[in-house]
Amino acid sequence: MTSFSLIVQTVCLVLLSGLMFYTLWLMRSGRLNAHVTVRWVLVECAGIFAVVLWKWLPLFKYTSALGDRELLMILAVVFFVLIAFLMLDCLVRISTHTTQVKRLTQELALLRTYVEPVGKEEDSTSAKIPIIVQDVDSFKQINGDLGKQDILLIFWIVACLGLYLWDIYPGYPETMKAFFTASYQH
Amino acid sequence: MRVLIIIPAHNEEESLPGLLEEVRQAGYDAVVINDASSDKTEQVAKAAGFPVLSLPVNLGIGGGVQTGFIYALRNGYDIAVQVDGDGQHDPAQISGLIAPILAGEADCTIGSRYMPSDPDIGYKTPFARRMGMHFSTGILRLASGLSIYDTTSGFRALSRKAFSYFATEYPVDHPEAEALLMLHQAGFRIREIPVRLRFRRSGQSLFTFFKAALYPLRVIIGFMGILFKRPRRVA
Repeated sequence: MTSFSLIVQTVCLVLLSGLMFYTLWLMRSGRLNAHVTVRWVLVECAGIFAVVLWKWLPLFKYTSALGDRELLMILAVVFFVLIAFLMLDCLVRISTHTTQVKRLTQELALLRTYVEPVGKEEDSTSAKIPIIVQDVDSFKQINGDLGKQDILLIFWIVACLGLYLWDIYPGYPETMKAFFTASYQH
Repeated sequence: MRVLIIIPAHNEEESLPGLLEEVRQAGYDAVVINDASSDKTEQVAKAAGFPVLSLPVNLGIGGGVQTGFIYALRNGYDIAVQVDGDGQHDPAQISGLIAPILAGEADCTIGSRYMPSDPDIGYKTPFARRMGMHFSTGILRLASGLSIYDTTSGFRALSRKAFSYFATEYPVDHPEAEALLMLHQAGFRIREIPVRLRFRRSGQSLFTFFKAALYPLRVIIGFMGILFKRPRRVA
């Protein structure tokens, strides 16, 4: 193996690893569908595998007669084809979703024509019916109740204040002090 | 025979009241497809007392008209007539347009401005549109052998069988010429009827110079898509 192929191998490995971690990160952050991720990760793994086995590739019948540069070209083309397949797969998904969105839009428009006349008939009686569905804020204002989050927040503030006051109090036990501070680990 | 007029409209608040009044006087049922207009198209159509299908997102002329076909199918209409919301199509000519369908001589009739036997001399077609139309006429003849003089006309009538077919699949962008190829492939009979068009009352045509420049490419891609697909014979 020449120094040229070693450099190419290193660069390819770094780039492919970066691409794979980025793919996984996209999935973990919920921006990439798991099914799509699996396909991309498989292709990236295949790419990494091919680059790692670079120096053994000339052992194969078809690649033994090739030099480093030709081998690199072939690998690049194969990888490009794989990526093109993945992109086609994504385009198929986009096309399917486009058709679904179009159908949904049409159905929504058609459903409105059935629902709206009913809504108009009910308008005259709506004044007598009390409001059933309200957002959380208006509900709290009307009833004067506290939500679960409010109770938790108040509890947390009280606990923090209590611990702070306890901390500055001279009779604060050393064991507790160690427990709540970094010195506990030592 | 129940006839439904489908009026696709995108920001046509000024043209619609007059057109809807004409439709009412002609005595037809109509549905307005409000293709995500930003003006008062929906309110204007509702005030005129016609049902309105308001699309929450813009689907373009293809998606809008197809919504009308689905509506016609579900509400038991026998003939669907497509009339542009800009007021260029005169509802008084609808009776002539649907006559061949009523007589069982055609499944689709096109209101044509350019029939050699009776051209609409008063209507001046913009240059870009004329070029686009010649192109789509030529390519339609090449692909199907059909000789249609006004391939881009949006003034059309369809039999129940034909609009049922379009309720399931219909081209999206500039669908007029592609729809004709689809009908021909499915075995429907198409006929042209000479009509007179009016100039639009307000607003601007969506067929801008830029769109006209891209139109041949869109038509080629659309035709290739239809020709590559497995043909579906319905009629």
